[in-house]
Formats: sequence, C-alpha cells, structure tokens
Amino acid sequence: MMNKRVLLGILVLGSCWGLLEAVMGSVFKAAQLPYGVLMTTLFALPILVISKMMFSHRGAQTGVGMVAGSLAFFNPWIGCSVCSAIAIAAEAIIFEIIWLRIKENDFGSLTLIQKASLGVITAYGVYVSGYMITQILTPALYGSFLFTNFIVVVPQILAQGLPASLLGFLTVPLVMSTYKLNITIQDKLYYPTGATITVLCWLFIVGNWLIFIT
Amino acid sequence: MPFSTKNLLPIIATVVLLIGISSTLYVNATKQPVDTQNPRVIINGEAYDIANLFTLFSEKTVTTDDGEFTGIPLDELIVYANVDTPENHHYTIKADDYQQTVNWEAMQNGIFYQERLRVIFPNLAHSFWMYDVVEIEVT
Repeated sequence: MMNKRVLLGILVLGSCWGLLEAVMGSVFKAAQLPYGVLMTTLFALPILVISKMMFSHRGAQTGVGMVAGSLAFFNPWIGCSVCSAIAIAAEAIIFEIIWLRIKENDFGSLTLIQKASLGVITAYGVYVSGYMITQILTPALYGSFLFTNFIVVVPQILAQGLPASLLGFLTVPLVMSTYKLNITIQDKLYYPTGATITVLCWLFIVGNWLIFIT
Repeated sequence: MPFSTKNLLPIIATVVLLIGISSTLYVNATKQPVDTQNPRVIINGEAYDIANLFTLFSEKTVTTDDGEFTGIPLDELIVYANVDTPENHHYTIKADDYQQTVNWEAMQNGIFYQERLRVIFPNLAHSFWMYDVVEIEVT
C-alpha cells in the first residue's frame, strides 16, 4: 500500500519528467538533435532510477510515467502530444518490468560493470520498446495500424536503440552512484516543497497549453 | 537480485549491443541512394519528377500544431496519377525505412511539402508525417 509520501514523490517526479519533456524536448527538436534518444537517456532513465531508489513499491515507476505522460499530453510545443504521452507511459512500464528484480540493496552491491550493463540493457529496452509501442498504438488510435508497416520500421528502431544504450552505459551507473549520498528530506519540508513543485510544473504546461489553444 | 542474474548482466548487455550494431549495419547496407539532382517519387506505380510536380499544382497552406506548411495537395496528386475512385483506396506512403497507410480523407487534408520531401497531415499524429518520401502506393 502506497502512503502519502510515496504518492507525492510519484507526482513530483512525474511532473518534473513531463516538464522536462516539454521544455527540453522542444529545445532538442528545434536543434535537430535526436530528441527521442536524448529524452530517454538524459531525463527519463535518471528520473526512473531515482524513483526506484526512493520508492521500491510495485507500480511506482509506472505511476511516475502515467503522471509524466498525462502532463506531456498538454505539451503545447512538441507537436505530437499523443505519440509523446504514449511513449512516456510505455517507457515507464518497460522500465518497471526490467527492474522488477532489482532490490534496494542492489544499488550498493552491484559492481560498476554490472551497473553499466544494467544501463545498456535498460536504455536499449526502454527506448526500443517505447518506440515500438508508439508505432503500434498511434496508428491503431487512428484505425490504420498495419503489421506490414510496423515490420518495415523495426530494423530502424533496433538501430536507433544503439546510441541510447551507449548513453545508458554512462547515465544509469552515474545516477545509481548517488545512492551512497543517502539524502533524506524531513516531512515538514518534503510535503510543501513537493506540492509546490508539482503545482508549478502543471501550471506552467497547462497554462501555456491554454494560451496556445485560445 | 540473485547472484547468478547479476553475473548475467554483462552478457545480456553484450547481446543487446550486438543487436544494435548489427541493426545499424543492416539499415546502412540496405539504404537506397537518393538522387539529389533529380528527385523522383513513385505514385501508383509511375515515377514523377518532383520539381515538375510542384509546377503543376497550386499550393495549399495547412495549419498544424507545429505551425503552417505550404505544399501541393496530396488528393490532387492522386487524381493526377489516374487513380480511379480514390475514396475507395488506401494510400501507403513509403520512405526508405518507414511507411504508413492512410485513407482518402487524410489525403484530402494532407500536403506534399518540398523541403525534405515531406508529407504533412494536419489531422493525424506526427508518426504519419514522413520525411524523404519515395513512393505513394495505392491499394
């Protein structure tokens, strides 16, 4: 059973991910950088690893993804909010499946090579699965999914996972190493700060979305 | 995590990297060379000179969630390519390593945009917007 502390943590991390997706995603896209790979490895994975370090509750990472995906749905800058929301939610679910057997004591006991390997596997799995699920669900939403169209793009998706896995080799061990810092926040600071961050993230995105549509 | 699973992590990571590397090699090996001097697009089985196509039709501007784009109407292209009863067909837009299928209603709203040979559908998700289009197959 999730307590209030965990639920707020999920809301904060999900909202931060959604905000980063909207702001940094549009920056990467405008700069014609590989937006999907960078968003997954630089923001999605670190946030999901942090959430796993903070809350080992089953469903916590999926919850973070659902919050981020919901916020991404209102993203006024990226263009395809449907694809983005589906990809984010899918990435979080895949992450949770890959990390299902990772326990709290593993953060300290895994060697650097094992952490880097986990980074490669997670980044590749999350990016490739997220991309594939988007390629299935987005056309399906519009009633035009065809398996032949999906098969054509599979080699391209598997190839694009390579840079993601190489970045995951670096980012996941780096984020996992922060476990040693053992940061704890007192309740009297945790709740107001968490609530404020969450509200600000949503106000910023939804406010800009309202301006965009009116 | 069990000890045996921990020791498997580098092996699984190596397999993952090998899949990524071999897919990259495959994608690059099967890439079709693009004729940048005289780009063409195949519509309904017949090749058309793109520069020429853009002189044949009046341009149309569409407003999308990503801004305004001006190009030639896809429905006019299909009619020009002698497709009978276009509303009864589906249209598979093909790039080198990507393809999507849309219906006539989408084609009526979409445009062919000259920069990077894009198709833009204002009413569809961006996964239907494609770059480097080489063919529009009519089925």
